Amino acid sequence: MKLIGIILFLVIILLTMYITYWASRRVKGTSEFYAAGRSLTGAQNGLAIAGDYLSAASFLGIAGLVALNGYDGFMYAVGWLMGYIVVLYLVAEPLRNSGKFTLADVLSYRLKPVPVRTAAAIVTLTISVFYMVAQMVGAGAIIQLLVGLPYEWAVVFIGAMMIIYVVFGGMLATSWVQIIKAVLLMSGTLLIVLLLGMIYSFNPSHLFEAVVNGQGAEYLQPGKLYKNPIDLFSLGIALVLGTAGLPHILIRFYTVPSAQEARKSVIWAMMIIGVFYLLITFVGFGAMVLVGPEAIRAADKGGNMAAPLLAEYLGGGAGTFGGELFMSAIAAVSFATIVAVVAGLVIAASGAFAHDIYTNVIKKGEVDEKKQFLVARYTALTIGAISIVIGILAKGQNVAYLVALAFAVAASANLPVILFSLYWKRFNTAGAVSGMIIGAITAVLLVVLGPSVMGKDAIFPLANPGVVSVPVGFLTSWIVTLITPPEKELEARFAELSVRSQTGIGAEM
Amino acid sequence: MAEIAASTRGIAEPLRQEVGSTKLAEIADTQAFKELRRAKLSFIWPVTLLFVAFYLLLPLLAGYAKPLMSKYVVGFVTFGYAYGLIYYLVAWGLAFLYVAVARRFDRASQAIARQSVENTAQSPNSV
Repeated sequence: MKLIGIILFLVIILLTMYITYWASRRVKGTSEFYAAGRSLTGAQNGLAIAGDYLSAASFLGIAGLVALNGYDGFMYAVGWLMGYIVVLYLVAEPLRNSGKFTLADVLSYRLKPVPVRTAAAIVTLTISVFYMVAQMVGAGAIIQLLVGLPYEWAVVFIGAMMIIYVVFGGMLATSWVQIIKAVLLMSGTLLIVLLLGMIYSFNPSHLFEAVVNGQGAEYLQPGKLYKNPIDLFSLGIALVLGTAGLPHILIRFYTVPSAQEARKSVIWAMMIIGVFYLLITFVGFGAMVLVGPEAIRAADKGGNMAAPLLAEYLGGGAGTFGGELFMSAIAAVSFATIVAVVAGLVIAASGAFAHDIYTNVIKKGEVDEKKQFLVARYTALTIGAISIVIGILAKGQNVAYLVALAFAVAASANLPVILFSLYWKRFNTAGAVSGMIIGAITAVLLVVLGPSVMGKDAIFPLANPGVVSVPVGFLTSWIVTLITPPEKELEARFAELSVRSQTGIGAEM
Repeated sequence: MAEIAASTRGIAEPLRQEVGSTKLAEIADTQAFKELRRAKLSFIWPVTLLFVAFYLLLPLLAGYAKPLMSKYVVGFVTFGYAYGLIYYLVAWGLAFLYVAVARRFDRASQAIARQSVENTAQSPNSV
């Protein structure tokens, strides 16, 4: 790696370490560890949500998908913003109003705490682990590609950084790492698009003209990547409904002081995430025209190098100072992107184990604050270490589908239970537990039986399970509730939950 | 945005108090709360469901209406691209619509909270 790249990496490491040091003096208990002391403003949390959500797959992966496939890549990008309407309208504020640290807090307020907490924690751990493995494997490969660090060392390095942020700085440090990452990522993307705009006189039509003339009109048409429309429909269902069930996104709403700030944070996040996905497709089309699909494929089959190579071209080309500077900057931004996302996942997973399973299921809430805080940090350390090991073991595996799977599990197992708990009086514990377990199992099983795992011999024809597993999740919760007796003694709790969740009266501070 | 911040500050005081479950149950039975709940649900649910259905049109159109999606509308901008952009505008539009409507719900919640504080002051043994 060149000197300039090393300097940029060191700047990011020193900056985030300073933040962690600053945060570590303020993180004194579980409220700071899980929820940043509910001290963030809506705008800060909005940036942090964007930082939590925009992964290396969004930045490098989607740019590559567009660069190699054109329109289908663009259409894929559209789906990632859409889920936030469900988050904003149905989930964010009620969740902030009625929970404390985790998703399970809301469910266990009106259902039998031990079974729903256990099931919800298992689902959260499943989603977080899938998502984390995808990030770690992708990260190892990307860092190796960008920096030349061997895969194993890249995984260990990213894992160690993220463990330090989380264990010492908790949600407070993680939030600020995510905020910085969001700013860096947006700046890098904006700069690429700005330079690109100067070439094409800021007129998308000119860029598309170059696509048609250089690559062919079929790159502006659907069908290059997705041959089966139902598969795309199925992915769409998982994206639009899964975002509102992703634990690492939902726990971010506990970091603000009120439902109004939670609302503001979704608005900020939607602005940033939307602009990002609009811009990233330009990056992809720009790379297709200026770098060319052959050169992009030659650097990496999956197209992950499209954005860095475009940056190199726009900076002046390979071998020039400008080219090298810009490419190193993009590499450093990608690194920041990865650590910020995995840190968020570790906190979500720690909450599910330490807060839900240990504190509330095993100890029935009879643990003092000091012990809870200690267990939370040990859990984060353990989960971080496990993710490093899995990351190394999964070397060379194609695990990109795990992110789509995480969304499918979130949409099939979490969302039905969140919505029924908040809005349906008759809902009961049996419905919740069976919905979560069967929704999650269906999604996982269909992926295992599908082409992502079984290749050509797949029993289930679709790569994305959403079109089947989401209805299965909702119907299971619904039917099991109706065939089991209502929990009369808990229905009063639903009335209380609905006052809390809809008005904010009695919300956690 | 500034207005939301202002309403947050206004709403914070009466809401921020330890609330026992008897009190929450009492509020649940009031007419004001029932009206707020009905108004809120009849706004958030239809909008969300329609939006999800609208979004799912995109993959269907891309799959089954390729000639339409491939048509150029302005210069080299295809219908498919312009149509895709509409999704961003609709999502942002709905986000701001929500903010505007939610302000009304905030005021109603605040009134409910204030009322319940007054009731408590009048009959201290009800908590």
